[in-house]
Amino acid sequence: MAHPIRSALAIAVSAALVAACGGGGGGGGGGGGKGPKADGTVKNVPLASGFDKDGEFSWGYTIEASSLDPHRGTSGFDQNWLFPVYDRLVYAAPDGILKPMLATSWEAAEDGGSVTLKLREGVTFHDGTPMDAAAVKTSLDRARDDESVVKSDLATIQDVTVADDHTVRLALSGGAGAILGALADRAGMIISPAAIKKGGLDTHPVGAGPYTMVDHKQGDRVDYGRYGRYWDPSVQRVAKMTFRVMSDDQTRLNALQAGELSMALIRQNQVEPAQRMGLNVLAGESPTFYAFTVNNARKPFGDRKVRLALNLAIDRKAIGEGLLDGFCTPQIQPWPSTSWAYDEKLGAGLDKWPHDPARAKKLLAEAGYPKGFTFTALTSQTTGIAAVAEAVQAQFAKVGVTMKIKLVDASQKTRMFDVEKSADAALISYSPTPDPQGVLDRQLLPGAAGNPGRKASDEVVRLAGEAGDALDPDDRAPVFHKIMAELIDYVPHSVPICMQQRTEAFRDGVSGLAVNPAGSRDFRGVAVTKGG
Amino acid sequence: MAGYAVRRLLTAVPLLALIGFGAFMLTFMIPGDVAATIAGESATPQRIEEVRRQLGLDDSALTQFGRWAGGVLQGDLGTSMIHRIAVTQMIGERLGVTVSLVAFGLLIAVLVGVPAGLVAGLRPGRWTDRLVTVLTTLGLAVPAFWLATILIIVFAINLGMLPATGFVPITENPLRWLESMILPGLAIGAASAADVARQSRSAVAETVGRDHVRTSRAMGLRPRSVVGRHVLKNSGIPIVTVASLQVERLLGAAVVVELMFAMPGLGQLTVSAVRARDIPTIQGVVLTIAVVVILVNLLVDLSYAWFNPRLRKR
Amino acid sequence: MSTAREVVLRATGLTKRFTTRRNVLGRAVERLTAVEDVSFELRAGKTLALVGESGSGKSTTARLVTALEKPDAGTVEVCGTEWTALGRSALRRERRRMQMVFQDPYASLDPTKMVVHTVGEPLLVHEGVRGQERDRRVADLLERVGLSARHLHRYPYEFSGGQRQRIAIARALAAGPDIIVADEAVSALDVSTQAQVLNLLLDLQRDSGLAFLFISHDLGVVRQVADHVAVMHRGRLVESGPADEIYESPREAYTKSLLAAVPEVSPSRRRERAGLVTESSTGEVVG
Ligand SMILES: Nc1ncnc2c1ncn2[C@@H]1O[C@H](COP(=O)(O)OP(=O)(O)OP(=O)(O)O)[C@@H](O)[C@H]1O
Ligand SMILES: [Mg+2]
Repeated sequence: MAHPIRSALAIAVSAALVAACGGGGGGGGGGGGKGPKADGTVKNVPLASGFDKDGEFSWGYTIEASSLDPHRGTSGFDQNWLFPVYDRLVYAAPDGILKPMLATSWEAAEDGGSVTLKLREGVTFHDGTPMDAAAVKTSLDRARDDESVVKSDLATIQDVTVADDHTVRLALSGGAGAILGALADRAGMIISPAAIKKGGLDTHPVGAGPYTMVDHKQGDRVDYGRYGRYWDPSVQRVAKMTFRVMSDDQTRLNALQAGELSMALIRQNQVEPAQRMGLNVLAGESPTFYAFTVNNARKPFGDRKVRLALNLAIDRKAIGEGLLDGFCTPQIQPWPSTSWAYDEKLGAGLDKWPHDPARAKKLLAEAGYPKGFTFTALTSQTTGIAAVAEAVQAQFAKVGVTMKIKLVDASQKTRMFDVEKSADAALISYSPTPDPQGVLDRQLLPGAAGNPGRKASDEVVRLAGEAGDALDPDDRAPVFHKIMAELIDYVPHSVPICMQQRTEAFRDGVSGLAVNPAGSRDFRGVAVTKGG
Repeated sequence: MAGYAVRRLLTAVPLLALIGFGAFMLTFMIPGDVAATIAGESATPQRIEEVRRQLGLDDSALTQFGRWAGGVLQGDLGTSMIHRIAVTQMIGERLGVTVSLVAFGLLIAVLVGVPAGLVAGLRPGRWTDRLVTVLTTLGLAVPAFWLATILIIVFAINLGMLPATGFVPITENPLRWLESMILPGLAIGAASAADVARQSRSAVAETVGRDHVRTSRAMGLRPRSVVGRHVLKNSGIPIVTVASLQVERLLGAAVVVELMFAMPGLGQLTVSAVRARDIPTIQGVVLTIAVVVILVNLLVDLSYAWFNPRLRKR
Repeated sequence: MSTAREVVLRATGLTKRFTTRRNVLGRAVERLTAVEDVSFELRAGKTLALVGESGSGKSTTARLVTALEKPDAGTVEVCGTEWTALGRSALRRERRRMQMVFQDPYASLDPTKMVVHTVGEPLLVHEGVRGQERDRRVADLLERVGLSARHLHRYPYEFSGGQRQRIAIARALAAGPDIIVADEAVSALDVSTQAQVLNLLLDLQRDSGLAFLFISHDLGVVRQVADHVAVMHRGRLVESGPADEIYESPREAYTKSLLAAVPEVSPSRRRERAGLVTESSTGEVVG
């Protein structure tokens, strides 16, 4: 995918651009806009002209925020609830490009040892505290303390210094580019220092975002109201937002149909029913993918031939397009096609690791397993991955490999596979970090939590060191492409099966929507028409 | 009578202790690791161990129980490991929803079930009796979630008369509270109404056949007075008993119905707490529900004394 | 004792069938004839005993004559009024003329009501008597049946079986009836209590000219109270007549077999055994 604007985004973003893009207000013509797709779903909804400034947008989601404190919440989905309240230093636009938000520009030192951020002036937090360099330092330091759950996202920051009232410098141990991606997500949410001092952020978030939290009913809803002193009123297109917790899939559809929600997450198998009800469906790739992963310190997974054989036994197309109705894109790259890290030339890569049971059998015979072998894979009950596991099980059986499935809880999988290292294999649903580098840090490198075998290609380890240095994605992309090529050759312990699509249904009248390539739900700039 | 109530309450104490201990031990059997959840997805094994230590999860089960029980005795159910909020506060916020729902379901069960049982039981074998029998069989056979689905489709989506989701506290807006209660209340109350109707029918039929009721009829008492003065009170114990059993059934059904109607009640809290292995919350909910059930049973026992003078003079 | 006394209760051709099985649609597929073509007369101040084995239809007959159930055929006439032809409210007003006493002393009183309310109920219903006036009259009634005003505010469970039957009788008397239908009224009591209650009934009959329809399967007891006896067998009356005739020279084989089953039918021996030695009542019974 071509990114003409990307080249325009230099290491430092000019103040002029900042003014022009108005802070990158939301949805609109964002990422990969193709209009309606063949299945009737859309990738984005451009802002409609006659939207209602006093309108109310309501969204239904499966789980509530574990906490409304960006640094403390334990759920990987908390940020969805935080975006309206907390502006980040950097904004990841729907097209994947980083744009100014609380930071108006950024610059990396020649040696890559630091990044300097210029802050927007005249911004105040919801409690009236001014947003300045000291506030940013307080927030970032808190994000890096021992209790912080986003600590690892900022692991390369050595120190945060206040250069002047509106300038902060981050001393880095490397990976200047990767840190910007992190600053566009939870780790980059800036909290009012006064509120930090006061405490109670778990339930009373105080940021500098376009909406303030008006009410929070635990287990039920968060109500947001327009913040009168927001620096970019153009993105405050609705007066109120309400995010509601509806864990039951059917309930969200019911609420949409009854007009109690403007929009809600739906499951892939609900796309057709939703469309039949006259609802619109937004669908697009998310960076979440299903993966098959083994402990390559355990026999026989240390053998490349075995890993390759299993890889060739997996029929990614049958799973993504058959089993999952096309709502999971079969591919071998661990990044969505909307990501700059994605290698367009390689594409899905299904020709590199084709579905080839005959060759798989041969490889197994060469590795000394002509009659196959038996192992056990952990799978979680909650994420819907069980169905994928069963399909993989059947595909392995065709090459003589018996995979027993053990259904466990996600946290139990972490314990058995990652910590105790007592499991052979697992089928997982990988949830992304803000920066593509996360896949390396969390899955593929020898020190990664998801790599209990502690083995990886030396070349990948070397390349990973370079991958985060540059600020410009254009400079980083080639490194990632090299890494991908090396992964194909090495056959890592963890391989993607397909890239999940995010599907949401919405009522007529909702506009200014786009699928965020980072996978999270940021409704910045959403609008509704009267009665919508 | 007051002494009886106090004695009953005292006997509930060891029961509660036992339930508390059981609930605690149960949490050790739920597979999964809350420390891994809390430490986050990218956490290293070391970090997970550290969280375990911080939460005191590496202590022996008995030590952990002692710590928890000590807090409970001081009215402190601990802090949610996931939400970092006091469990008492979370339960307090959710209790209103579940109590509303169960009370509403019970109201429906009694207001529909008792008259239906009365109509049927007063004239066993008549068409009204057979109709009630058919309806109760149906009511008991239809699961709450199925009925809820039908009710939502018809009344919320097609007719747009009542909300499909949500809960409005009665203190906020009584009318909207009522609206938000009707569909879920019907959904969980139907089976209970059927059960109450069935039990009331047999209790009433049995009472109507008693000699003293016949005597009253033969003596010239109006049928209405016969029912009011003799039948109802004498059928009272089995009716109250079956109604009280509904509290437990309704609490069970509330879990499903709260999820279906997106109501932030105890059921929903339990489900999310179990999913997240949030041990203090699970224990708090179990204990709270146990207290509610014990209190209901106490009330029922006290009401027996009203129905049965013999128990009164103890 | 003359047969010229007025007839207070006349049953003519009473028939009752019960549905014992229905098909799915609720239509009757099996019926049982509990009572068939039963006719009898009861005169003021007299006792007619209805005897027969269990299931012979005695209680059903009682429920028919007391209009607790509608006969499929036949009529019931009470003090010249045909009950079977009355409307509901007219019937309710007439009901005070005939009261019932049942067998089971534990079931015959409402366990949730104090004696004063149980016995006072007919007073309230038929005369609108309440408050202190009711208490006074209930106390009088209790004294008539051998209890006292102390018992006014007690519950049934505080009384023995015999006392409960006395309360049931007091309650029947409260309505000021002409007829009392006693269905196995003493069958559940032990022998000496039985004798006391029978004595009470006979005393009441003598004092206020009550007529009894006395239902029992115990021919020994019947012998002590009955002026006339009617024998039921499988829903039909097989034999009826003055008590002496039935006892001394039964015509029907069924009656003979019933009598044969009773160990001590000789009136004098029976009376001795039961300790029933009231001179006055002896005369009445033997009549
Ligand atoms: N409501 C009813 N429905 C069906 N059958 C009945 C009903 N009442 C009585 N019967 C039947 O009618 C027959 C006569 O019963 P009934 O009670 O009149 O006998 P009984 O002579 O009083 O017997 P017992 O000495 O046992 O009291 C019995 O076979 C009984 O089962
Ligand atoms: Mg009988």
